[in-house]
Amino acid sequence: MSEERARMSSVLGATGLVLGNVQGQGDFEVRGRVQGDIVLAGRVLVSAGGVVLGTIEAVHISISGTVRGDLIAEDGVEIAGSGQVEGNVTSPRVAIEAGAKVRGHLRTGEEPPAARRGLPAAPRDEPSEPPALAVPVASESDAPASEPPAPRAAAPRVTLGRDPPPAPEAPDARGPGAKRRRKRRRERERNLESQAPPTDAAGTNPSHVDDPRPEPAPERRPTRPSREAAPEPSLDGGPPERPRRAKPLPTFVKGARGHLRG
Amino acid sequence: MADTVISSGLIIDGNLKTEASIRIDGQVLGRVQSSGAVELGPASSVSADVQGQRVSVAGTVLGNVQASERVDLLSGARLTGDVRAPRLTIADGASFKGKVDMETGHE
Repeated sequence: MSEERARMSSVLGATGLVLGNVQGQGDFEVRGRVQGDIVLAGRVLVSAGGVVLGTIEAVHISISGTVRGDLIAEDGVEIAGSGQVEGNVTSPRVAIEAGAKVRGHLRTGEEPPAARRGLPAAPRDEPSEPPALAVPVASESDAPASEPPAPRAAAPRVTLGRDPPPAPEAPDARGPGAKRRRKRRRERERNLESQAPPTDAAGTNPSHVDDPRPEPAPERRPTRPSREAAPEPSLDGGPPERPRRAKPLPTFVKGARGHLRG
Repeated sequence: MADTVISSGLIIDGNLKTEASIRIDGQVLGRVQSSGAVELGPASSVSADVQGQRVSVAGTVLGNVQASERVDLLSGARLTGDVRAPRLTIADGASFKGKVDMETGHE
């Protein structure tokens, strides 16, 4: 007993109870009870009668008591005959004495835990959300200008993302002030054309006027094109009906329509 | 030697409770509760309330200290918090900021 104490620098006595995590350096012997994780750059010994409810991460782990939690050791794990472990054991070397009770996965002979920890990183497969926002914008400005009309296959996936309800169903055709709006728009276009040289996007566009929504680009990653293309539509006023369609997607509806109201 | 020893380098982030004596040279962020003697070594740093039968402080404590028997602030101790114990000694070189309550029978 006294030997062990001399060896292990920190000891939690038999009546001791730790509610919380233990970390740091040095050796630690648990004769009492720890409810929490132990992360230590050193050895951990759970002696007979000791209980740990939580993960133990250490250089070396020896269990003669009870552990409910995972054991992760850089060097080795020893489970004595009196030991009881409910949890996964990960360590390059594992020794289990006859009589020990172990329940859980055993991983030995692997890289130390540092490598293992990298695994549960986020799966990068799906750039799901941001594209939903960006795709339509890209398609609006891109499809007419530089690309052949996009295949319809991609459309449903994209439109799922978010299309603001004021979808361009030629809403200016009716409603109060429709005529005035159309008039203003025409005026603005005239102004723009006189100022800036018309982009080809403006010229080729009218063919797409009728189907506003389902033309989103195919599955290629949308973020970049959107960024490149985004400035264009704002510059070229586009042919009639165009401005509406150029920015139906941003959710800040007020800003999107602001230029229509004058 | 104390029954429970938290040596320097060890950090306990939570409560520590025992019915026997404790010696702490490490760090505790949480409550320390003992029915025996509590010894806070010179290197110790405790941000917590400390409760024991006899509490001797040589390190840094940020929190209240309560003892059923006595509290000793040794030289080099830095205590910020109130002391509640029937007996209290403050050694030369100890720093202490807080209130003292030595009324008996408050247990």
